[in-house]
Amino acid sequence: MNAKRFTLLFLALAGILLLSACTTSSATGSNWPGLAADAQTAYLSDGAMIYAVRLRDGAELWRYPEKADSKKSFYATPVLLADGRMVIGSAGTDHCLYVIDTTQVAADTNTPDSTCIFAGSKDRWIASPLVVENTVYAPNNDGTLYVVDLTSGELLWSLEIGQGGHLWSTPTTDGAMLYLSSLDHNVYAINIESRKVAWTADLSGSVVSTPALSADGKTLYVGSLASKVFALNAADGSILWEAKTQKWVWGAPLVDGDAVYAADLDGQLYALDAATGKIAWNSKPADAITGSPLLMGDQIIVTTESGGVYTYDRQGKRGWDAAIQGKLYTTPVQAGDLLLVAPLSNGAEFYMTALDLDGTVRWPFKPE
Amino acid sequence: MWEFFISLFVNTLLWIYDNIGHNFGLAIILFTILIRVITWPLNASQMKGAQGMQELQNDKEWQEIQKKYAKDREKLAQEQMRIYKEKGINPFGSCLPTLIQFPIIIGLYQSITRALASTPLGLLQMGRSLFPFQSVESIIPINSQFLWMDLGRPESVTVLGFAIPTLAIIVGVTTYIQSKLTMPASTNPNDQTAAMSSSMAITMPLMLFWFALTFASGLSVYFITSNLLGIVQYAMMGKANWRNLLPGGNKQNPPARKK
Repeated sequence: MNAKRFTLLFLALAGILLLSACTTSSATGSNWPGLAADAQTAYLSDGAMIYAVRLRDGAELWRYPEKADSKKSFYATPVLLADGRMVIGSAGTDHCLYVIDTTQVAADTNTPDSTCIFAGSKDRWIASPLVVENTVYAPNNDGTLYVVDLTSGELLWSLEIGQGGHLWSTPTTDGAMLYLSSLDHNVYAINIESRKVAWTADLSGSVVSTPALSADGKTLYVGSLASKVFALNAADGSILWEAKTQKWVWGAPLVDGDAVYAADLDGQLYALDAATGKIAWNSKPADAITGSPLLMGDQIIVTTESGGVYTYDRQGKRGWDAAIQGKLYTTPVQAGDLLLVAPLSNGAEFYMTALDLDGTVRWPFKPE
Repeated sequence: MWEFFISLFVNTLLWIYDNIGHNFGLAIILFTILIRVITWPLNASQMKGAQGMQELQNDKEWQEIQKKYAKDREKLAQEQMRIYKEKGINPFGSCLPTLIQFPIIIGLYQSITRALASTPLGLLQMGRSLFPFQSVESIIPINSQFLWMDLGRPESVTVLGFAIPTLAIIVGVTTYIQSKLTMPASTNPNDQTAAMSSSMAITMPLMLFWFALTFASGLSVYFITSNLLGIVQYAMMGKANWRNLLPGGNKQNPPARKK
């Protein structure tokens, strides 16, 4: 009987341990990292920590917070301001929108000054905010767009979008309107002055990426989980054309003159005619592509789930490629003459890798 | 294998969700009923096994061999096995359903968090778990709200500034009630089965209370539904020992019931 009791208690403890192993994903979820760079520094938001990495040699400059805090979690792409401050929302349970001053790093802790300017949302911050002058437009997972004063943190206004569907992407703007996509299948145009929804476009599938605005501001290009790329009239939200893809379109399309580049989870990269949506060419370099295509010089760059970095010219001819250990979901970032890629850190040897423009590894980064 | 198990759970949950008006809480309740129906024979076997073991503790021959072979464990084990065989009792019969509960709980927990997909990576994984017959466009986004709860997060209700984990309390109470109802009454002071049941009646509610406090409230909905269904099942089989809910109620045997 003692053995039986021991067995039951052992099973109970094993159950606790197995469930405990999943606690992090329950409370805050896990995700791929956010990546941004200015002229000198790359910034990587990778869950518990944000790392600042010197572009010259890949050395770690600082990290935030000083020690991991179970309430804080960062996966959104850091928004870098001209004055050296960074705005980023926490995907943790603190629900804080932080302003981090990267120019004020404490010598003893090697951590920058930070302020939680706003913590009034009901849920976490998955999306990066859009910052225009002194105003922060921050979409939250609770389905509300919060508009906050950057300096004081005062809530200027807020708008519940649709039926409160999750907002996972940064809005884009032409100065007068905000264009915001939602998991509730819709793209919303919000008049900044009237603070009201001007139009709604139903794309028949969740939208997880930022709408891309054409250079003339007349057309929005959006990919959706309905496995389609849409062109919308920015004035009224009417669908100008739609192009079918093999699988979900996750990343935001790239607009390049008369062409629109979009990629899907099948691993296809499509070059579409911006006016008609007709496929000019498509290519499948490897497996799933979640990041947006990146235009770097004359090269279009995509990264794949299996860790591949692939380049194309505008006619669809393959250029160099490189292999990174780890899963690449994050959109690659150009930093001067470097290409930065950041794999899912869980299972990867390095958290970030800088490549030269010919695909040669300049440096890999791993936190100390 | 485990991945297929999780995918099966996720798809069953989401299929129910998609066909009952996108109510994830109701989907968990119906899913729990389904699990209970599937494991009904196992639970019945557990009850039968526990009952048999309990009766054995009061059996004279059993008590005699305990005394007679107290110092010869090998012989005692042989005699115990003989009696098990003679009386048609499977000594592990009461353990198996408990063993099965753990993978179900762990699988359900992982399925709930995967189905609710709280991050882009979670949504990507959930999308890949879906079987081809599922209408992805219709399912996503998942509505995680049920009554006052967000099923993907631990639950609490704020009263006068204090966060009260109501669901965790209900989980603890219903688990305690279920454990007490199924606890066999005993007249034998040396009855180890009764002692173990008594110990488990305290341990299990505390453990599940902690689970409910820490993990997604969808899991609490499963626990509560499962406990209530368990109580109903015990009552239907005439095994519920209602006297145990009263102080000192487990000192006597319950009135004779159909076994």
